[in-house]
Amino acid sequence: MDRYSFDAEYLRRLREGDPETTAHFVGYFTEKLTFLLWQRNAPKSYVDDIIQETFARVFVKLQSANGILSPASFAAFVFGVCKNHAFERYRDMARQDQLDDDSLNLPSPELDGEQRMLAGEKGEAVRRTLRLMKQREREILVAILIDRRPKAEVCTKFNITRANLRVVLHRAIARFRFLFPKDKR
Amino acid sequence: MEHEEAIRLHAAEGYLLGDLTAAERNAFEDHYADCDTCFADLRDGRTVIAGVAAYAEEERARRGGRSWFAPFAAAAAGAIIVVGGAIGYQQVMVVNPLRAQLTKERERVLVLASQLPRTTYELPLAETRSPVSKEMTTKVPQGKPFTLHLFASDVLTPPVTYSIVDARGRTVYGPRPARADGRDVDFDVLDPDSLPPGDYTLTWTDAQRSAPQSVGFKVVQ
Repeated sequence: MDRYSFDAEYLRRLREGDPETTAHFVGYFTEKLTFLLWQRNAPKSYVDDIIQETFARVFVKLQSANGILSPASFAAFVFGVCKNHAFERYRDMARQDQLDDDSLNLPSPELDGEQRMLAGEKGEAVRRTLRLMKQREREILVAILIDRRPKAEVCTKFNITRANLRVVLHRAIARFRFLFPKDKR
Repeated sequence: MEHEEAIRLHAAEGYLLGDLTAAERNAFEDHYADCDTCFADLRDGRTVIAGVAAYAEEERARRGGRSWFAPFAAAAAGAIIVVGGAIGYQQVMVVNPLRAQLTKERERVLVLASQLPRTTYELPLAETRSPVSKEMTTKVPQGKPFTLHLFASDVLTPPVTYSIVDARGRTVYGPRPARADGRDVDFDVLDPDSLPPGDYTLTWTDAQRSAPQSVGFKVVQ
């Protein structure tokens, strides 16, 4: 497992504005928070604003008297700040349903430019991954992710369990990695 | 959520598919906030999903907007007709009074069965990094020929042979040759009567390995 360890020393450097630590913090969390907001159906136009506000709030908290009590949970804390701010944004805009914790909506299939183009070796690896998948597996993923069919209905049609739905995607990811290993990226 | 639990639940895949409960989703988000291994799963998963979206668009353009369900329904109807015909043929074989000929005919039925469409059940990956959980165990209904499909952790070198062992350690099916293509392997079970409900272990070897690999599955009523 590859896990980044945030500690009190990291937070001290961040609080004091160390350029290297600040650059790491911004780089580390921008991609993850973008992903989090995409997964939570945040409209693209708000993503940058929410992330900037999240960073600002985290820095305010770092400077405050009680600060951040558990450095080891710093990453989860940043995610929590981001989710709270996103909730506020949507509540204000009467769009709370898009971030309702009780909903299990799929993320929008809207993808950014890089994902849409799927260019170069990476794109070829994705296309080969899909070609190597069984037709049935491709249809399962299309039914769930693109056609937005209810999962129970898809499981019945394809005679698979809910747990096997995850295995289908897991297998596709494993194939993609086999065809496009880390050292080629 | 601990990393082992995230792996066991295939939480990254469940997250991408919108298949986690609200509590699981929050717990997994707290986990991948600082787990780069799980985040890499999510990043690659998203790339694959982007490919699926592009594939779906191309397919729609090619088919002229036909429903995803239509080919599946046609295949299912075809399967019903073929299976119905095969059952009638099997009845003829059963009335044959000669035991020796029955054995021979049984082989023929197996050959015929091998040509019929069968339901394929996915096995958990052999490369799964922790023991397969109860909910991930593949369940197969009793009484119909079926195929178990595995995406192996490495390319398998033919010939790949497999056997099925019951909970008492008795070999109840095989050894038989599997159909292997790279990392994809299909294990056909054409004679389902030899597998009453219970827990089984599928064991396979290929030309490169001396030690067999195995994975469990369950036959249910």
